[in-house]
Amino acid sequence: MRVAMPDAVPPRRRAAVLWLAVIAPLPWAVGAAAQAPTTAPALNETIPAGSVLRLLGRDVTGPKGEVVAQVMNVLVNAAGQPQAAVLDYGGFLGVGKRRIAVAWRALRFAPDQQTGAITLGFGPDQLKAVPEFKPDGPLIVAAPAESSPPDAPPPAQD
Amino acid sequence: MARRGSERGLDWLNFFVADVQTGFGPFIAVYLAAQEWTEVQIGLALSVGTFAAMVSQVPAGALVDALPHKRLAALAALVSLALSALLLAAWPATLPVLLAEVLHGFASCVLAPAVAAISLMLVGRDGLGPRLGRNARYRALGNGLAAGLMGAVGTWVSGAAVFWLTAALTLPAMAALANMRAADLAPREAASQVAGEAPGLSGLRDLLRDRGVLVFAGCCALFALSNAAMLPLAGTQATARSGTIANLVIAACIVAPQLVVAALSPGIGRLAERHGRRLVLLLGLGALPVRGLLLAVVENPVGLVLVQALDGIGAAVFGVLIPLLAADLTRGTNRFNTCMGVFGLASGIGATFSTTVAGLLAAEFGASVAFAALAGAGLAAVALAWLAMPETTPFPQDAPDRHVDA
Repeated sequence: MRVAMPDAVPPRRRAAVLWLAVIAPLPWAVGAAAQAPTTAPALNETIPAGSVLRLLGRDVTGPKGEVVAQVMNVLVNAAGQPQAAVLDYGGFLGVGKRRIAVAWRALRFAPDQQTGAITLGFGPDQLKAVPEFKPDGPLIVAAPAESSPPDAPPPAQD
Repeated sequence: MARRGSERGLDWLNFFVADVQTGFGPFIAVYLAAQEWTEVQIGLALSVGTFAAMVSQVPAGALVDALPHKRLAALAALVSLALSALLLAAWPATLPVLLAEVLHGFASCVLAPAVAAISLMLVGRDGLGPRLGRNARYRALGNGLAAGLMGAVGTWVSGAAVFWLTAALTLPAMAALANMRAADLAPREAASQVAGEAPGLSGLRDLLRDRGVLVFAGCCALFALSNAAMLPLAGTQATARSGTIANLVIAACIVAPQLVVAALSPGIGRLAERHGRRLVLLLGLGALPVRGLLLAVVENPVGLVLVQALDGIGAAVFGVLIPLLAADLTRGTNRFNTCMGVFGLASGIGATFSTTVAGLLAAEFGASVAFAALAGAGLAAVALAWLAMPETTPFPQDAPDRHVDA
């Protein structure tokens, strides 16, 4: 006499359960994969030489073409856009350098040039009122007046 | 007089040594920044140099005391300085630069006492004051000319060219060293060895128990504490206030004191011989609080340069008195150079605190407060010298007595 096995699952229901087990986690896995960093190796991207320039330590020339500062640091916001550059300005033989921050838009870049690659739109007289850069304090940068034409030396403001 | 040739040689030795040392100044930070070193790396390299110099002061002095041929010690130091400059010029990577800084620190600590010891051997104790004044004059001339020359080279040639030039300038210094006749030095060279007492640590302990040594070391430390940060701070003020002529003002602030030192030093040496060391010390220290207060209030660039000229008085006085008092306080012993090392260490400690404290005060409260604090340190130095410094001029007839309280 055959007794029905109480824990035997009918074949069709078993197939359905198996399918669900495979399909159900899929959206979660895809979602997780979309958020987690891929483990693909980094691509080697070529940037043409002469289209970019290294910044840190580079000389900055003033409006008259003389070297006035060196770039010490760059300040970027959350979107990765540079807001200001920290410069070691002035000085003779290393004596008398002042660390000041200038707004990014006060700088002009010419990556293809060896000398004069970075130009500051302010002359020394215009920077007299700019305070020293304090890493822990309120950030005050020297900024050009908005209404002046881009090539004329703009007055510095706090 | 045959000795005149050796005296000329010593003059030129001081001149070229000062040239070489000018190359190793604050310009190194600018050079390393141009080599794309980060701030932290530059700070580390400079701190290593300062630390090496401070740690070497007393041992290097003791080493020069122990060596019978002081000119050989000076030569070795010059070679090390040349090597240090070459490393900086040719190979600005981390390890070579650190090595160059350590080498420079140690070599400087050997060279300065060695040159003073050579001066002592050349002229003896009588007339040491004016001879040291002449040394200071030629050092000031070397400093001033080298500052101008290296500024020009750094601007129009390249940063590394400054260090090639520095290395090249050790050659005339070595030539000046060789030009000094051994015969002029020999009589006292032997005597200094014969007089040698317990060398090494026990000698150092005896030195540190001497009241004159302790008080003058305190004066050196307070002088450096007050003086060291004044020029850099004044330079920053000049950059902020003088606009287009800022660099000219700073150059004038560097050169003006050197001119004053060149002019005054021999006179100060003679003054110390005739009227005593205390008077000269008080004059030199007295200029400090005056200068600090003036720097706090003067804004005009010409005024700034004139006030900086007061720097020359203090620099001339200490340039003469440090070796002179070391000679006075170590008569009859072989510890002249160790004593100079002690004074050098005290000055180094004062200078380090000066730049740190002044920087903090200027950042928090502004430059005027920083200058006032530096002036206060100068006042403390005057008080210490006035109250505690003994007169150390040797009386011609008192050979064993080392000093008499004023």
